[in-house]
Amino acid sequence: MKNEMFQAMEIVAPRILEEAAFLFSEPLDESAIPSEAWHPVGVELRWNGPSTGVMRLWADPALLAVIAANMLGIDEDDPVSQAKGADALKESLNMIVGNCLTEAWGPGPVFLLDVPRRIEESFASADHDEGLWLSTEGKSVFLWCGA
Amino acid sequence: MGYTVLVVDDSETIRGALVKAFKMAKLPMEEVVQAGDGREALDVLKGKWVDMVLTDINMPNMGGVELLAAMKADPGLKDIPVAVVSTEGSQTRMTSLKEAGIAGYLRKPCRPEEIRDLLHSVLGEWS
Repeated sequence: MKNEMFQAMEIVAPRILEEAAFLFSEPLDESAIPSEAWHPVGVELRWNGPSTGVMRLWADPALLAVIAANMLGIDEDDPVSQAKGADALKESLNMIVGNCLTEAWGPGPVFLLDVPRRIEESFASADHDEGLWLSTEGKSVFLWCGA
Repeated sequence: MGYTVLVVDDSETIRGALVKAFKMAKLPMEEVVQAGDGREALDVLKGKWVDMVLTDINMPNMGGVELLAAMKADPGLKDIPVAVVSTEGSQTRMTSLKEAGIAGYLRKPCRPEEIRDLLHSVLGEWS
């Protein structure tokens, strides 16, 4: 699915993670891609408009508290960071999708975004060849976009 | 003394990040009141006077567009400035929000200095 949204994800996702959570990302080396035994936390966001689609974001559980801590300006060992990790991941996806849609479609079209939600679907069920792998502060992140 | 601002977002993390941004921007905040959606915001506004509302658009129960409409229809709330802080980047959407009466718009993620400039432009610099 090397379409406009995929290209937008490649540009936008690392930028959002850096600007929103001060986390630096780079493409994950193929040899470092986790096996199907990897157990990340997943969130998804659907949208409607000139195109309908869904984006899913899976992240290493160890990264969640770091994202929350950096967004909130507190220590990652703070219980608040631990508690807000999933919410911070959902908001990261919200920002990635909103900015990807503008990157892919320009500033004209209006898209209606759902509220991001946690997904229980196994990461193993995703098509790993059709997404974007990132290494974010040394932790694996996988983004997938589909109809 | 300082600004009293109502922050409306269904994400506690985003509300917390905005509070952090107010501090980083060294804005004089009297109080930051929080609500998780438009309905909660209207409940807060029944009993609390604020200088300004910063709201997200996409929220469960009542979104930012509906909140803005409800405030504009209420004589007691219609003059409170409402600014939108959202991930959406559509110029068409922004134009319709301006026509509906928003005082400003920031795109997430936003930097502390952008938030400072927004508050200064809407409320004036605190002196």
